[in-house]
Amino acid sequence: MHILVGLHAALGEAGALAFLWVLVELLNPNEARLRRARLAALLGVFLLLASWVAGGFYYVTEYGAAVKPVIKSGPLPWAHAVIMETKEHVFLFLPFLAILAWGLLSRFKGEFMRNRNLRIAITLVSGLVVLLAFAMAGMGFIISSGFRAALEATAL
Amino acid sequence: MRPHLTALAWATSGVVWLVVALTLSAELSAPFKAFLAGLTGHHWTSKSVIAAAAFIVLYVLFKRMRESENILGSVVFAVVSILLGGVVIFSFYLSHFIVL
Repeated sequence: MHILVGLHAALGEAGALAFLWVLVELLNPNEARLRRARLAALLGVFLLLASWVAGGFYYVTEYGAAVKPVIKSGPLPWAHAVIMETKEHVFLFLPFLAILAWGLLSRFKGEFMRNRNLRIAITLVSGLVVLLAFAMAGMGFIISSGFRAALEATAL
Repeated sequence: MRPHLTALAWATSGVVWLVVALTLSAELSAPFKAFLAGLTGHHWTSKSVIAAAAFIVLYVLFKRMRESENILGSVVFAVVSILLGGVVIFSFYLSHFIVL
């Protein structure tokens, strides 16, 4: 257990919830709800950027030396070879997608209500941010399970 | 502040495919992975820095384009790029694991 892993997961999930908040505000939009959605999206961008930094710092300073070799020698080596490798690279898409969602909400402040394509675009992007961020959490669970399984195999 | 949305969507798509290319190239070429690691001390940090820098550069470049009236097409392209990029990366590591 490491504080940076908790921080990375907490910031990432808070980012996902911020974009879920965006989706909820857009269900029945008016000016006040759009203002809150813009605020939630901006908050989500900062949370995901912070999660990137916290997770990256842990990955570079701790994971490679202390966790990766244990998982690779354990009963679930694919938890690193497939899941972690996918997670560490697909995560890089998230902050940029979040910035795009914030940009969409910020650019057409007055047009949102009458522009159906814009509403579809924001819903698509925000929804994908939520799905990807929760997928990252699921992958994190699998990686932790791989580490725990390796430790249990050593202890038993 | 009024962001240029076409540029933002295209920069997002560009970064996705750049990350996919960097990831696959680094796994297929040990010297390239070592080169990336040499830039910042770790290949993943280098990919992160390159992705962030590329996003800014691509946004500035695409900003010169006229903004599209229909943003949905560019956004759908970015969304599809992310889904396909994720599938390509996952499939690559899965096949790599099964073969080795």
